[in-house]
Amino acid sequence: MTGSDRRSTSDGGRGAVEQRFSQTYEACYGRIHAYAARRLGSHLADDVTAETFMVAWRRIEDLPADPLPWLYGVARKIVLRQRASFARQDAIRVALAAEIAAADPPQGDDEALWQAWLQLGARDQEVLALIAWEELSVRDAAAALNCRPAVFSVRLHRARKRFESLLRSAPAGSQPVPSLSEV
Amino acid sequence: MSVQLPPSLERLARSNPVQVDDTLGRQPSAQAALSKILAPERARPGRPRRRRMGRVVTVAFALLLMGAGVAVAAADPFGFWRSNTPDTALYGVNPSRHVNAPTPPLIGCATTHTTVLRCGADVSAQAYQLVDRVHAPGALSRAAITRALVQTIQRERVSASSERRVRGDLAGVSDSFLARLSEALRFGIYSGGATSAPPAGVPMWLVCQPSAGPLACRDLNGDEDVAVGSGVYMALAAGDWVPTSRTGGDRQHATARLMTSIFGAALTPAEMRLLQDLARTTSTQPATGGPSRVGAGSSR
Repeated sequence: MTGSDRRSTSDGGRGAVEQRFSQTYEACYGRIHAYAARRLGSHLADDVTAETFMVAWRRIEDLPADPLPWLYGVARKIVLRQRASFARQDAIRVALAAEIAAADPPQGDDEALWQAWLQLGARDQEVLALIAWEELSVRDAAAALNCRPAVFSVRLHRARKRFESLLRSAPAGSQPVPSLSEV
Repeated sequence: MSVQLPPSLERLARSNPVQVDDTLGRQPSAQAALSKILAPERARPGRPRRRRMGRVVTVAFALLLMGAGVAVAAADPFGFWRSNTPDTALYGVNPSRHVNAPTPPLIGCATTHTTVLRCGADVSAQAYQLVDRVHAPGALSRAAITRALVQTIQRERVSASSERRVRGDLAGVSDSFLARLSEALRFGIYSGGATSAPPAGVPMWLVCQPSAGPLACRDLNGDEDVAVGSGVYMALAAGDWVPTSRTGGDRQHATARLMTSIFGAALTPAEMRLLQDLARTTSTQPATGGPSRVGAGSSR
């Protein structure tokens, strides 16, 4: 029995809304969680995902029929706010991040790729990640970023060119595999 | 994905750091979260406390790393506290001062190289975005650390031997050490990690309070008397910004200065070991993960 089954009620109204929301929740949770984990780490993905769907519940009337790009857009704002909030770190915790980075061995195979990735700006990273990692179409990625597909296409083209230029010049080295949060 | 990607993006796709688990939404923890979302408001307030405890522990762990080679110092930490990195602000919270949080999400500030900036709705000047508000520093006690430690250990499934060792180390440190650790919690760092920064004289980070007229804002960097509730605003990129190199060196250097000032003499072996143990205990980030959550969470 899924959560959506449990929440089906005979009240109509709210019951039907809850059921629709629960179905969306179960269908999209994994993707939003992965999105958050790629940018903030797995230990924060739960919170970001919960907050994303909290916003979605509050704005249930705005939830489109194809909700995933819209949810990505919500999650992105939460990630950005969270990133800025974390950028506010208690002073001593800065050292912890460095210690962790030094202690954890690189897990990625493509070190040159990560070297190039680290040098990209946050906006370029987001554009490329939506295509390569979230596997969105240009149309859906544009919706997630709240811009027109033509605008997104230009951003994607430029980001890809910058990335490819960095790839050509990136030396191989022993660097930890970064997340999108490390820029 | 049906669309053929260019080779560079194919390569990036192959290095996807996190694979989607489409079953996650039906698992008990996700269903519990869903129940909370659909439940009344009273189901939600517990989360911030857990975060605060997590912060307490994480802060304690991080201190550890600064222990080695700390020299005796009597300098006021604020005397050399300002960051030298354009996109980083170091500050201290005054927990006895409280103000109402400002609410405008976007402000413009005419930066006329004065101490107090008057900021308003006109964003034709340098625009700033509200990103956070200053929260009260967490209270740090042996009991609070123990509770947070237990939660962290349970969450991260630390071995029984590691748990015993950490508990033993915690029992072996003095109350004065914990008091000094508490002092450290007043300090904070904001860092945008951007590749460009405002021109000289234009702050990257502002701390603002409501006033009778426009918001009264100051450069957050080097402010040692930030009131709880103040709004933190981050500058939005503009055409006159200049490239900057991203480095963590200044933050770490500033952190080392802070630790020197707060702890004075070098840490004892028990204190060092406690912080190292705690750091390893909560060092759960995968190589692709970001920093641990520190702070009471962002405002909504």
